[in-house]
Amino acid sequence: MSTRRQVLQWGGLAGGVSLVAGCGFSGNKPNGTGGDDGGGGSSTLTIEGPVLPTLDPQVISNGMWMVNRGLIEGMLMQTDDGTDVQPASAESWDVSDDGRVYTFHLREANWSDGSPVTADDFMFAYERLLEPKSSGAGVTLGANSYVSSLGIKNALQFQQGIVEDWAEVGVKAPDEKTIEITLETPNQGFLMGMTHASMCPLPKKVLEEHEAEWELPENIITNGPFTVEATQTNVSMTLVKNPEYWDADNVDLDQINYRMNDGTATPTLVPFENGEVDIMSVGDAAMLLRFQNEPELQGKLHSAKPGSIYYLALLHSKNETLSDIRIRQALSLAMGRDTAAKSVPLVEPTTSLVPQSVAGWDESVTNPEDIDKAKQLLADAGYPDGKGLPTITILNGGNPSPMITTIMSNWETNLGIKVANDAVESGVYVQKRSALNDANYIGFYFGSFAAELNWSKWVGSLWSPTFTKPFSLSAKDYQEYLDLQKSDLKPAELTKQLNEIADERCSDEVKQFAELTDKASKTVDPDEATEAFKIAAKAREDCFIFLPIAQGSYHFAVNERVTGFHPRPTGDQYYYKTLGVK
Amino acid sequence: MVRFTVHRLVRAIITLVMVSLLTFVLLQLAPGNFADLSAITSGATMTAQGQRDEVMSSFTARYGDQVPAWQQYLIFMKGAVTWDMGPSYKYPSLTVEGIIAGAFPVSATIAVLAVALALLVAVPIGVLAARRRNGWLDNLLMFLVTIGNSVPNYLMGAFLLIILVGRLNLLPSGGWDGPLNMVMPVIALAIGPMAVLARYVRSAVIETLREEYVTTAIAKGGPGRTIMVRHVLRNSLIPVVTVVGPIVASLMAGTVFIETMFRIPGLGQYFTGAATSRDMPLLMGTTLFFAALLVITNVVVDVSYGILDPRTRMERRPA
Repeated sequence: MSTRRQVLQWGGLAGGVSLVAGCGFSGNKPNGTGGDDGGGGSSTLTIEGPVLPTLDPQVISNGMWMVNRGLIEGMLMQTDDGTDVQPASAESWDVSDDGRVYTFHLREANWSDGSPVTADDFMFAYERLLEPKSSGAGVTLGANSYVSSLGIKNALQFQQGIVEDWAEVGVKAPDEKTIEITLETPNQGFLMGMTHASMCPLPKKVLEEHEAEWELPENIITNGPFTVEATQTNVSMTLVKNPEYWDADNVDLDQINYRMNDGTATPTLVPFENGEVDIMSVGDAAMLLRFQNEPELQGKLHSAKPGSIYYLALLHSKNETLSDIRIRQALSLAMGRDTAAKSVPLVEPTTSLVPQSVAGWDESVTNPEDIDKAKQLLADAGYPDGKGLPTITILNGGNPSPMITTIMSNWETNLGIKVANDAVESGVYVQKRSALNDANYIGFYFGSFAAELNWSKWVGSLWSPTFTKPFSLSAKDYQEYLDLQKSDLKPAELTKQLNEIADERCSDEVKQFAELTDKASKTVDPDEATEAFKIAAKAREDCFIFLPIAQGSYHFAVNERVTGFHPRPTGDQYYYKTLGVK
Repeated sequence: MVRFTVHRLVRAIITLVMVSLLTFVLLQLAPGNFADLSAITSGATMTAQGQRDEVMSSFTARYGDQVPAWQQYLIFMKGAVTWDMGPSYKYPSLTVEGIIAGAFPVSATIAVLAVALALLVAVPIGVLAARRRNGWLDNLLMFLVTIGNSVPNYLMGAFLLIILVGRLNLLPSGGWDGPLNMVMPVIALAIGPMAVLARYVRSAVIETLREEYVTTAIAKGGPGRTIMVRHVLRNSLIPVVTVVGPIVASLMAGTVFIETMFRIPGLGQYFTGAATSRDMPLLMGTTLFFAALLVITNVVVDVSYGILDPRTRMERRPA
């Protein structure tokens, strides 16, 4: 027995030692991520950001923003403040007189392995993006939805299977260095839309050879200022300067240590205060307050222009009380946005679904609050002092923002109505947002959007007419709409039939919004288009289906030694190319 | 002994099949799918429903186009048995088996070190408390143990982060570059098991001290330390073995807070991320792996316990 026991003992010990020995420090070990040297060497920065499960720019994840930030360069980039575009992989471009055909001239540039970037790499990427089955090799998860805002001829139809021949899509490569894109109608947001990650080229030969594994450090090649040297999934990524980059002379940094932090653990500024991290995004309210209150952190918080909108959107319900527009308008006019916005640091109240930083924005696209009018509207709808109105629910995923609880109390005080909060897990949230909810469940869901600052994006793409129409269907029609979604129809036919229901049976206000948006989209002159979009935006506000609450920005803690940090309101937030060290 | 082992293995396999079925069914019943949730969590929600269905069907293509759920289950299980579970939905460039093979050693290292640390502290505390039973030292130690048992590991992690990194700047705040990165997670994870094990050791020692062979050894006039180590402690640790196995196994599975807080590339992050994002292959793969780990640990403990103490063998031959 004693021998057996000894065998067990030694076996256990040996097992333990071998486990510890195999704990995986080796392999893709990033350099300099420790806290010893204040963020690395003289031309190295350490940046903390979200976890990147993939680097595919055509898969909706935080990875696509990393690609855009400094790995793969599309034809255009945004200017430092994010209000206009500048040349990137394309040296120049021409626009036809009717504003529908854009011809991009690619510059002489190489991938990081020295091979040339050609029109073929762009064509390959675009076909992969728009492929109806979202590509056989790898999956372009949902990023193709962004393309709808570009208005490329037949792109949506190809994606939906209505057009089957790729040659009919308005993307052509007349030669190795030219890309020609034809639009359905002129689109003032087109060039800005081309700065999105999903419009980046992809190294065709690498994707064909390695398929889904093309993005692993040993396989990936890039045409941007940096390339990937090493990755530790969920933990870190090491980027090094790409000597083959066409503008490498203007890239100051040699290396970026990217630390991933998924944000679910206790948010803390400790790594920033220690000097371990040079740039980190800050979203937590308590952390933001510290920048306002603590002298040693003053001046270290940098913010982009406001480019995101927090909103409430109407929930579908078998109880049609909220289909009375007067009630929705009353709720909007008595929301108490000032106090709601104050409940979260660095957020401003707004009564517009378009951020105020969009050029040409003015008060004409707003519906200012008016509690007396709200009370009158509620009384006119048959609920004087809120009496008899069923409980209004605000649905949200995860913990409710203080904004939600403040709005709840404001509605109760201002209108005398009952309000409930339904804070649920993300999956339940997704389901309830699109479901036809039971008769005892009416109200709104809470959400937020961020996008580039132009009218066609914020009116024609976000809360677009196509997206808005189903919200105004009656309970019966929406049930039919949902049933149709579950049918076995082919995608093209399904889309057609769904659109028919939405187009014909949506409310008159939404129909008007759709017509005005369509008119704005077809306007060639930029100034006239802006005015037309503003009229459409006001028409959307007057539907009271989506109620704006506040506008917010991205915030970053930035070490004083960092130079060239230019935050922008779009998802990629800032470019790595301009970063440097004092 | 062979029959005993075979019997346990058969039961283990049945358990694993039940776990996989339950996980799969629950996942089918859970609201939302991977495409919907990705769209929400990355802020891009304008994708039309029809397109998301398309995307989802391209994901499940590996399991056959539009095949019923039970066939998907069978195809996945075949992959699980042959260690070829295919790519994760969330991490498209990584296979499920690759993720497990890469991340498990990390989680296991942290878990084994945490339990080793827990044992190193818990055994002396338990013995000391038992020897001073009901004295002030016993009361004090058991009071500390109760506190240790009540503090969640993520809170301990946050304390360590604030004190050792924020105030004293002694250690890197996170990452996985070298042994220094292990210090805080191991301590944070060790506190809970330390408390549990100290209690076990204490009661086991008290129990053993009452045994006749201990009284005999004392009567024979042997030195106190020898009696304590050779007769009392060795026999007291037999029940502790049964607790240590499952603690190690559950720590390997359940370190998600610690892993995210200290940015450790372990399995816990994948496991919870797979559940919240409805990544079917990854969730099924990691759940089955953890279940197998627990089951195997239990079988090993049962078998080793049988070896260590023949009285506990389940099937007794007729007298």
